[in-house]
Amino acid sequence: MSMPLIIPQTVALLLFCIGLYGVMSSKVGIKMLISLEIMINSAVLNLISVARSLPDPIVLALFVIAIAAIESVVGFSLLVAVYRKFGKVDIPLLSEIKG
Amino acid sequence: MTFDTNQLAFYYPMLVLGAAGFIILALGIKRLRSIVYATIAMAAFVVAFILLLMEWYNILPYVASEGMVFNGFGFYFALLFLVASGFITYPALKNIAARSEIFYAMLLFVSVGMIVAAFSYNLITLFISFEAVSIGTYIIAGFHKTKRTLESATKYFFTGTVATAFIIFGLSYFYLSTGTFSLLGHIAVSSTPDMLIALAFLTIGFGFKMAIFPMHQWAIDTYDGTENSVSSFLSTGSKLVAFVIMLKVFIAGFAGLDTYVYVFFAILAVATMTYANISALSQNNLKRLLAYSSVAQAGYLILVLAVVGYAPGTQAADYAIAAGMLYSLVYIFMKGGAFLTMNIIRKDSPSVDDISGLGRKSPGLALAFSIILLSLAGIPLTGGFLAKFFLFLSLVQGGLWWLAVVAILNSAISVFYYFRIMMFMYWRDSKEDSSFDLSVSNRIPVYFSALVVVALFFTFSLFFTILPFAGGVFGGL
Repeated sequence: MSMPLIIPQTVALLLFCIGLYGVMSSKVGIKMLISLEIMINSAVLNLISVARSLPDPIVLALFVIAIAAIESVVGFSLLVAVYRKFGKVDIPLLSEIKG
Repeated sequence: MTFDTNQLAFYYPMLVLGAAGFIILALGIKRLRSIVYATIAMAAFVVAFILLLMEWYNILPYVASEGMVFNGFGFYFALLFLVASGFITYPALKNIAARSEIFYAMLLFVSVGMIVAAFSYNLITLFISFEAVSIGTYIIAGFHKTKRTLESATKYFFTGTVATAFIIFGLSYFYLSTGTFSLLGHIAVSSTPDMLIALAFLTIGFGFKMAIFPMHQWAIDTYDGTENSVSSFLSTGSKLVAFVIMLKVFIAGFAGLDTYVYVFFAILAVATMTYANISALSQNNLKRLLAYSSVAQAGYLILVLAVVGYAPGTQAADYAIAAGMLYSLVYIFMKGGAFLTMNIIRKDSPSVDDISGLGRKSPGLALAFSIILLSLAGIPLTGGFLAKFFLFLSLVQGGLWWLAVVAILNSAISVFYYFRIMMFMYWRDSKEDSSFDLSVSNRIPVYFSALVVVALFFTFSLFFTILPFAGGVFGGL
């Protein structure tokens, strides 16, 4: 008695798109970081939904959770450093580098 | 699971690098001078390099139990990555003043990740090594903490993390379709649509790191904003890791879908080369120009995937992979050397005009930089010519005439903007006296890379030496 694969996959894809939209549309760094977490976690959901008999995807999912934590640590420390220099965390509006 | 001591010997280089990283971090508490940390890091790179060479010659290739394959292909790229890291160890000293121990420790940890990526044939370890490289380079990129480096590092971080999410999503579809994460042996595809989704997602994910056309915008800003030595590392070491992983994933992992791989990467390669070369033509900022040229070089590199997808298992495919291997070697010195040359200009974001008069002020340096630029353009008597020659030869051999013509036309376009820099160097007078910083430590990397680039032209038998290792992309010995 298992759930049809289409349900978790649709949810994961939906979450992924929400996260992607959040990263692309928001200007505040914290919001972008939260959207990124949503993206990564939707991918984790997709990973564990495809795990049928072998534990491989679960192993990868555990690693991904750890890596996502490290990534948010690095991201937040970058944002703190940005806030100290610029006085704001609006990443797309920083314009020290121009074409 | 067995883990015999014979197998352990293969991990010594990684252990040396990791241990050196922790030693540097521990010594950081004593606030030694930066040169001490740089020397420890360099010593670790040299020891790891020698250990890898000894293993390559003395011990038979070995398949470890957990998807690590120690074959010629892996050893070649592992040595290449160590060269890329060692290349910027001393040049980075100039701009890294405070807390340099963290910079060098990160460089060492990134190198461990790069070596694992060279040997691994399992998507789990490949992904983790890729992330080790990514996270390390986020920290390295923002290290100097000026406004410019912080902005470039945050942009790099956000695009890089989006790419990570795409890769994980792609990997889950890859598993859904094949039921395995291992790239060794025959991979049975159970559902083609899922595999195509995986192909698209993985291309986007790794394409971000390699800066191919629709995913390149971060690279221009980041290479422009970071320190010269860091941009040199980002455009060589970090990009080549993505290249190696793409070779393994798309050649071995998508072996059943070569036609799709061919169509995908032929289109991407043409778009990347053409877009980058045409944008570079109208670019006045010197570092952005080099960044666009770096994007164009990525376009040439992924031609390898197009050839292998078009004519899998033929001699042309082997030639293409070997040409990609040779190109990677030359690329480290020509692109890394070009970015390190920017150290001689005092300005933060130099325009093409700022290099004018170099030919009169320091003819030797101008000649060395010209050699590097000629190599990037693919003019004979440089290693860049040789690498492009073998790459285009494999295109013709595989029957992809139209792609060879497009690539050669693109090389012709690129000659214009490289010659424009040289024109400014030799035929314009400099505006101020103090615009150049011609200290010895800035000159040596430029001379060195120019020398290597020329030397690589005269060792064209190297291509036939590495040709037998090309088959190693499938995890064979």
